[in-house]
Amino acid sequence: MKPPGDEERWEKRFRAAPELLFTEELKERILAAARAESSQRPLRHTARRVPRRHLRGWLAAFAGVAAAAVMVAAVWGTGAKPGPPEGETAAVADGQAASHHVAGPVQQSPLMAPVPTGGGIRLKLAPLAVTNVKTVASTPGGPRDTVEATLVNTGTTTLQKQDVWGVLSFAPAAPGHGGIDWVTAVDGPDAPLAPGQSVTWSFRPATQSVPKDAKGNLVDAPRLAFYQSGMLNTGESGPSGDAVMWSTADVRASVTGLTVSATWSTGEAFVVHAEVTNNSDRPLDWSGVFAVIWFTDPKQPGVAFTAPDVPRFFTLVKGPLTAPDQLLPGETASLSLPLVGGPAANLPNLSAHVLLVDHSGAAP
Amino acid sequence: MGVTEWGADRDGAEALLASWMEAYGADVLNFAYSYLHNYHLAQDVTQDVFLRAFQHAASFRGESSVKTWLLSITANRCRDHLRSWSAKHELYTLDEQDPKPAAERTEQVVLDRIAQDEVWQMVLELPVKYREVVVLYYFRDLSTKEIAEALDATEEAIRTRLHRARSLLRQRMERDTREASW
Repeated sequence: MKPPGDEERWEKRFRAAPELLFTEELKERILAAARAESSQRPLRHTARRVPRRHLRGWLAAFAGVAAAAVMVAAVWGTGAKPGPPEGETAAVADGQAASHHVAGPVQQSPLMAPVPTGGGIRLKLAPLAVTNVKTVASTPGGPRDTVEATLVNTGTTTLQKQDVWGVLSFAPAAPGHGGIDWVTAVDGPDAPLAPGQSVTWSFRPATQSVPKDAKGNLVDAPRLAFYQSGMLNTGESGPSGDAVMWSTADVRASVTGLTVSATWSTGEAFVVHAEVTNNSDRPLDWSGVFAVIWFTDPKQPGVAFTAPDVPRFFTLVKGPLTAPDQLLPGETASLSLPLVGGPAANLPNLSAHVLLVDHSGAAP
Repeated sequence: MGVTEWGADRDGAEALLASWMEAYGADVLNFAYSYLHNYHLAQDVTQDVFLRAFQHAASFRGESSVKTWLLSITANRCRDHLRSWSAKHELYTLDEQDPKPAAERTEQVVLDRIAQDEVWQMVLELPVKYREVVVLYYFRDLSTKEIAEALDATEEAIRTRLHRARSLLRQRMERDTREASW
């Protein structure tokens, strides 16, 4: 316990002091050196596996938490309390996602069934108008490290937090540069939002992989969209053109393990290990997809990542050394998907699932 | 805490290393800088720390946090450097004057801010044994128990050093205030 008194003044002054940023360049330099070292001698690396008795408590940290970042949802103009959670679940539209009990030993999952391919996943945009998306400073005089947006409920019913889920992505600011260079799942507003009511929503990415300049300012253009929890049935369309199709990669994918890599007071870093086989007759470019990882009760393997209160994580995919750019038809690769999550409520049981989604159509 | 051999899973190991850097890269870099007061040396030590952690993860028993463990390696590497012949003889700050590519120029902006920051300057003037405790406590938000683990000292010794460091910082601030009033 830190002593009180003028200690607060000290802490305030120290917190306001500038600090060096750990840049992507330095990270890549160290990774390159690590690759060079490990190619010269056998790697004797160990990973802290999650003991079964600890796993539930650990994964409890991720319930209802958006992926790869710490959500800072600031809601003004409403004092209403969040409503009770709904028990609704939704099924994957076109097939069964592969899954694996993260608590068990690393092994090939017997549930390695094909994930949805071809038609993809039909989603419905939430009745939330998203305007004034911008980057702002989370501290006075600090770097623009937070995304802020105005959300307006354009529907006819009050929206609860679990009614919606969102995608925040960053597109390179340079004109003519397609694609996205960072993506994460986000939650909706913390408090219920009545029809016509607006809130200011904000989100501060906690990982350093998000593109920033040397001062810590977010440098790329943020894009934000919210979807209704659950999915539309195949063939159903939204009443006003609000149905969206996410194309899934034609792959067979399964989660083969999970490793906690670091813990701190407000969250954990972990790596989801997955095995992916290209079922199509065309090479799969890693740069064109992002991974959707979600955790569910093993007794309900059909629960989709769009279901209410499902811990879901989105991340771009970095190709493994064996297939750094593309996965050729028929080939299999092991992916490591580093993620960061924060604390939240308990989950009764946990299975991990993974999908690869074509971000050209899915990113907002 | 169970530690399982990960064998030749290089991609997984690389992802683990990447996640450590994501979570603690800034901690290690800034802690190293507080010892060395040289950006390029701090980067080199940071690289060395993560590579050592990467290759010797088997020795990490989980008795302390990963952060404390990494900062402990950082302290040892920086102390080794400060004791080395090169640290006592090299004029390594000359490279700060060289023309730099754009990426390094933006880093230079941060370095300039640090150079002009009163708090950093006060901390950098402290003797190392007080400086390291102040940096870990205030900048890196470690408890005195964690600092004791990182610096291989007793918690009582850390509290004593922290108390002395506060006194030195207070004296420095009072001196600055007096000088400013003249």
